[in-house]
Amino acid sequence: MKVWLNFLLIFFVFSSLVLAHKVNLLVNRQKEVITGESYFADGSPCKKCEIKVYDSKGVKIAETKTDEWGKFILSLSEKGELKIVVEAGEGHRAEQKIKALVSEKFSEKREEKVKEKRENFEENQLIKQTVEDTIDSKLQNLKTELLLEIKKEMNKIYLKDIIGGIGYIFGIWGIIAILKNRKKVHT
Amino acid sequence: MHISEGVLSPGVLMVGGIFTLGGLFWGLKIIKTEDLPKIAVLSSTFFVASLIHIPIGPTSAHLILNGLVGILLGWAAFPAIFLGLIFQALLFQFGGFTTLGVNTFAMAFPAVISYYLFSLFKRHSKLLFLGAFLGGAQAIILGTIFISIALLETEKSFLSMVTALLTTHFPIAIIEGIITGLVVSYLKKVKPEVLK
Repeated sequence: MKVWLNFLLIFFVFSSLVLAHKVNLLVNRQKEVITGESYFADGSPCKKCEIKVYDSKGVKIAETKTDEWGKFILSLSEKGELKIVVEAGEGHRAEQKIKALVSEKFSEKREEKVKEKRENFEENQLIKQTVEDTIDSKLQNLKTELLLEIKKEMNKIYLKDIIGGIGYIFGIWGIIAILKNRKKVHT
Repeated sequence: MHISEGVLSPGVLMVGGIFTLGGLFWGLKIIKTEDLPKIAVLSSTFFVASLIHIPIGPTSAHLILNGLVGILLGWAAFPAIFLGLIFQALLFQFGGFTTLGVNTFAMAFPAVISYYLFSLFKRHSKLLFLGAFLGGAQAIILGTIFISIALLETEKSFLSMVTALLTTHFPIAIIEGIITGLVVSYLKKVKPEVLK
């Protein structure tokens, strides 16, 4: 029995190339364009999955499907808070909320200011501003890419989770054993 | 076969929860102290089985092993599977806490059926493998049907969903039948008292 148990545990822990059917959704909003990616816990893409977009009142305003790589792009004029839902069928579903576009006015103001500056300041100031803007936008792209990668990493399943879970289960049954024994002693 | 949060209506969740509570109550009541280590092992077996994926055509499905759990534990399969599902939801985000009742019932009730089905065969040592195979396979098929019933009002077409779920899970049912058969025949040889 002991040998069998050990074998079983080792088999299950190490053969778990950890794949399962939880669906994940990552979304990103840049002005009017919403891009996103949906994939299962093992990293395989959620192909041809239904994507539904709801506004802050819960009304469905857009619908699309993911492509072969589990990605999608949507262009929406809606500026408020959005809820994106992916449905992979068979009861698998994930949702993400994205914040309303509040920085819109701010960046417009900034652009106006930049325009003013361009008119008033010397040429080197203008170059400096342009370079800063370019770097900002490049960095923004890099940041979103990195965030996506980090989120993907966080959704993976690790060996420590598996071993921890087994430990918890044994612990809880151990507590039940103690409680049962106590009852026996009382009676 | 884990239903995620937000898919089912409160009514379906309530019904699943009540059925599961009944099963949990009865399962915990009839557990004997000396069986607890066995239950703990099978509880964690169920917990990790869902991580083993088998590719079938364009999709893939994972092992469930509820038939094996049921054959070895009987009604104690309810608390064993319930605990396994809690930690799957907690650590792997499979399923969810609101759907715990529905998911537990859909996995554990077929497991209990497997127990009674197997008990018809277990006296004849020649039919042992066949009984375990049927128990293991039956638990998957019945579980699939329960999941489909729970999704009845959510999915557009019941029939197409049942056929889709059954086609992906039929190979799993065969594989689990074989695994259950092998494990049970092996246990019969080395530790027959587990199958009493």
